[in-house]
Amino acid sequence: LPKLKVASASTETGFNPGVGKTVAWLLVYMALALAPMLIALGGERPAPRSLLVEIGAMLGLLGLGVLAMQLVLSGRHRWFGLGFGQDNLLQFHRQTGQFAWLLVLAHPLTLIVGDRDFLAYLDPRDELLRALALIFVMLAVTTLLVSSLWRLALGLSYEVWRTLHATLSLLVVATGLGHALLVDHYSAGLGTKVALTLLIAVPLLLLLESRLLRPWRLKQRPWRVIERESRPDDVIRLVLKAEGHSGMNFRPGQYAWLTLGASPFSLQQHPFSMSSVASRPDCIEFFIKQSGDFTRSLSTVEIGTDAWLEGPYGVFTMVPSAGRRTVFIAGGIGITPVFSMLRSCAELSCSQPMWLIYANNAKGDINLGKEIAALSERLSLTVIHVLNEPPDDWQGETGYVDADLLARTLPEDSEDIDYFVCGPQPMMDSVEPALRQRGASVRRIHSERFDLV
Amino acid sequence: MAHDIARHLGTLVSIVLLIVAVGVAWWIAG
Repeated sequence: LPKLKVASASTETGFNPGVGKTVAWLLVYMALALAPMLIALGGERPAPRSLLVEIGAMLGLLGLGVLAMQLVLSGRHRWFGLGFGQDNLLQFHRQTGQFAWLLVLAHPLTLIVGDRDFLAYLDPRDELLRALALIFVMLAVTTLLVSSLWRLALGLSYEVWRTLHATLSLLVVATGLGHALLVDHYSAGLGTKVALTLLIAVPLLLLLESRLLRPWRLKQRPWRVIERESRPDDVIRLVLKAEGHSGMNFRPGQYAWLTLGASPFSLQQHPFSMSSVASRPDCIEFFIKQSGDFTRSLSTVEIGTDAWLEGPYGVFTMVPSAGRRTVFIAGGIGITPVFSMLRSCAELSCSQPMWLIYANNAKGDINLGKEIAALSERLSLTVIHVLNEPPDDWQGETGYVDADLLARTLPEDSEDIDYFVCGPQPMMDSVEPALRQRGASVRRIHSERFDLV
Repeated sequence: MAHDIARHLGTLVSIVLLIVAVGVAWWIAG
């Protein structure tokens, strides 16, 4: 399942970044993406060429910067993500990835249109290695794009896609750097060459850190499966115990990447929300909907299996003790981070009024129904179930979560109400504007999207 | 509106970067 939205450590009960911080982050991103171009222009300036040729050259340098930043965006680096959730960063990564593809193709095309002599760069008879490298980069970025946008349609497993994506990305950026250095136009000076190399080396090293060093560090903090329960609602309950360490401190609503088996270097790494209370960092519980190959295989996981947790991640999180009125809106398995928040509220005996709007397709899709009912008795919690395909005897709400339903079931919006929304994309796209219509400011709406991977 | 913008920040930033790159090329080519 996983997560989130634009955010930072700000509001009392949750995390939401704000316009100022978002703009600052975007400016930093743009400066870094433009850095190869700035470095190239900072060196000795060759005689100007035609406009189209210069555009082609700048698109190439920009392409190198954008591609290098792709490695940073997807690396789960907390210091870089700041308050933005991984779901937002990955959405950004997808869009800039398409832009990078466009740049890689537009770069040679514009140069060739501007000056036919540039065709020689693609001619293997002229220089075999250079031509092969350039053709490889164009094919590789196209493969990256197609395999990412249509992974499921192509039948690619997540593990194969992830390996392909990391390998091709690394090769594309390294080849792009080599190309920029060898072209010797804007990068003719030694200083420019060194600066460009150092600049691009950073994201390449960060990629190696996230794929090699990070699993090695996980190896020092093993976990073990101590409970596994197959539930009638098609959900697996998995409990992990920290082995020889203090566990993982997390805030209610956060998630971790789970790997099962002897080695944390396994390609099978999937993100799941913690459902247990934050006060037990050494014993973590997950409720995992069986929806794919990996999650289905969990029903046969043996007690005692080694496990590895990378995390916690996510800014979709609340501070239960803040005492603010809270509305939770969950769709499907999006209930799991909300469940952790509710449990933590119950543990702290929070007394503020809370509402949970829980949307599902059919009655049988409701996850954790009994547990939520039990929590509603311990908390001042009103639970509103919404079904899209209700049975004949259904007395509750029906249809989708829209502005009308919110008006019917919730109190008037006011400054002391926070909203936590977690569900599939269509639900988020409809609920977020509906909350804004009610008058809720962006800072009070905390949301998280699924389909991280 | 705010959420719509937030959802397309990557695309918006890409357009800005493209304009900057073309602008710089224009400036260089004189």
